[in-house]
Amino acid sequence: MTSTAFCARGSDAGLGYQQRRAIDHRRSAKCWSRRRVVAEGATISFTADSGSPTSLSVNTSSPIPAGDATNSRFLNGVASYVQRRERREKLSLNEIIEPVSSDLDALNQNLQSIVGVQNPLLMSAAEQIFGAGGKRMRPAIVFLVSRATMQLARLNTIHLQHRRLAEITEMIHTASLIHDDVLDESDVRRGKETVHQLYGTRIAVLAGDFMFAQSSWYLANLDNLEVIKLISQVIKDFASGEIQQASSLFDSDITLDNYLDKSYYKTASLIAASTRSAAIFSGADPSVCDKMFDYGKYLGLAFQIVDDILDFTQSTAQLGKPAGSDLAKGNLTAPALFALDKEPELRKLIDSEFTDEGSLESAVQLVKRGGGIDRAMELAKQKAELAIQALECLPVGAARSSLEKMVEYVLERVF
Amino acid sequence: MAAAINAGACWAWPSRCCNSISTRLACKEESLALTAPELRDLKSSIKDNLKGINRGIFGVQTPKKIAIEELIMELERLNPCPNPMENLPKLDGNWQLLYSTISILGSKRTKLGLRDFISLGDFTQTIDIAKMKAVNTIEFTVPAFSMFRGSLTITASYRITSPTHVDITYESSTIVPNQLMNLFEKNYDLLLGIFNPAGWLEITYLDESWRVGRDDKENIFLLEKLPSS
Repeated sequence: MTSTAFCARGSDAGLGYQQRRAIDHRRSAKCWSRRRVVAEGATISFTADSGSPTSLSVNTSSPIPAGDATNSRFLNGVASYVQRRERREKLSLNEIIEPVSSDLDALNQNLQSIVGVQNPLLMSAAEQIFGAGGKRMRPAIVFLVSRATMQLARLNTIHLQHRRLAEITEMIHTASLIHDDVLDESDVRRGKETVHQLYGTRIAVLAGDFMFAQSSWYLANLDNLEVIKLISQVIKDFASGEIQQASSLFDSDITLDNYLDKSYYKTASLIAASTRSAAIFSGADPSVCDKMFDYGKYLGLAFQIVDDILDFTQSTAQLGKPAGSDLAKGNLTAPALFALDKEPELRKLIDSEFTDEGSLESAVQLVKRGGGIDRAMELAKQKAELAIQALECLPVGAARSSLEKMVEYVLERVF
Repeated sequence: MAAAINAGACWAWPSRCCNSISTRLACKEESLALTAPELRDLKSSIKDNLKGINRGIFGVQTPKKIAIEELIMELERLNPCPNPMENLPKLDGNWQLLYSTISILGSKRTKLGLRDFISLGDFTQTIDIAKMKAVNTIEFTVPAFSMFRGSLTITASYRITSPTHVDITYESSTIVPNQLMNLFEKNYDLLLGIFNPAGWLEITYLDESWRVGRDDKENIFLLEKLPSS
């Protein structure tokens, strides 16, 4: 791996016990003193060809005069970090997943061959599904957590199980998307026609079933009972989430907890189970595995909340469907739930199922007026903060940095 | 909507009316000038408006709702039988709901499964003037479970309180078959709350084939007489 800049947290977050184990004891004293001096974060780069951080060099931008030479380099790093944040450069997903881009390339190759080899029809469906378009966010997160947790053991490589886990995660995710498109009767996914639009519902259902089955088979062959239980639970959770959603359509009395549960089952469950499993395969401590589960869970929740916000805020052109489509179906998400407190008129519109012309548009306006978007964004930021905190047990490095940036990326999608 | 109360003859008739020609003649005499074609046109106009709205049970757009209600009010103005309680034989028998303002929307609809897996069939009402009872039957179809049909039956008794009004008291209800009861068990109270006829009812239009009623909850009901089998 080439050197990559990363951002460490400021003095409050602290470099924990794990970091000091990973960094040479001599340097840890320096870090400790830096923490006392600097209020903001620092930019430090690792030359990590050997994998272990034996050399610690500090990026400098503009020179800042200071007494202690190492501290001045440190402060220079702070300045550049602050400048970048001030310019508000939007993160690109490609930058974030750069540390694991070769892992993802290998994954793409493997996925096509896994799905397609049995049946030419599925092969063409596979091309449709796994062809360009998917962000591969979930397997990227699996790879990043794998690499970060392997770093704890001072290793630069990841196991075959990690790779298989990432493939399984993407297969499960894609299978659920195919089935979701059938259920929603959607024509377009990721800018391309959906599988069921091209090949019919039968093929779509079979392709989805095949992928669930195939991923279960690979999962079993990983031979780790804890991981098998974790990932199998996800498939059950997908169904639970959908059923829970269907049973509470247009129900203005659902609580925020109901919503968070449903969001967990539908979205966060897969990410959390896969990140925890990645840590398990790295042989990490149970506490680290728990933290990785938390990271996946909070990241997934933040992601879903942002998705729900975007359904209200993006225009038809951007979304590819009319704004407020969740609301139209009776699926009450965070912005609507928050706005229900402030806008009694909204409840009436929901109870009427938007029968009258213009009532859906009025409802969307009411959600915005009632502060639903802002409060939902607050909620997403809270979850994002919890996700970042869960990363503190990881050694500083490119992988951890990317995981942090992933959280930022999820939040920035709103803007 | 005013049912013109005849100061004379109709009051004197006992509630257990016989099916005499004189009764029918008495009603017709009291009606306002009304031609058969006018009435036919009005009725077909109403029926046109009712097309595709499933008796209004799952919501009707406001402009259409207003249009239907105005047509019904027009019908009520032409009521040939202002004293329906003096003409109980006309009420007796089987009726089918064409339209009502009762609607099942929002979370109620979701909880009763009427969104996804249970469909509503016919709403029929059997009035027995001898026993002074009305039996309401709501049919359900469940496409799963090999398309089985079931129904909710609510029995109520009525008491005449004026030439146009009755008080209705709920007596009992059943759901058949058992599988349907299982589906509704958790939300039985919700279901009854929607279909419970208790309260009072005013009959604002009555002729050989159609009846309009308004209840104490400001609901409107339009029913059509079914041919006796």
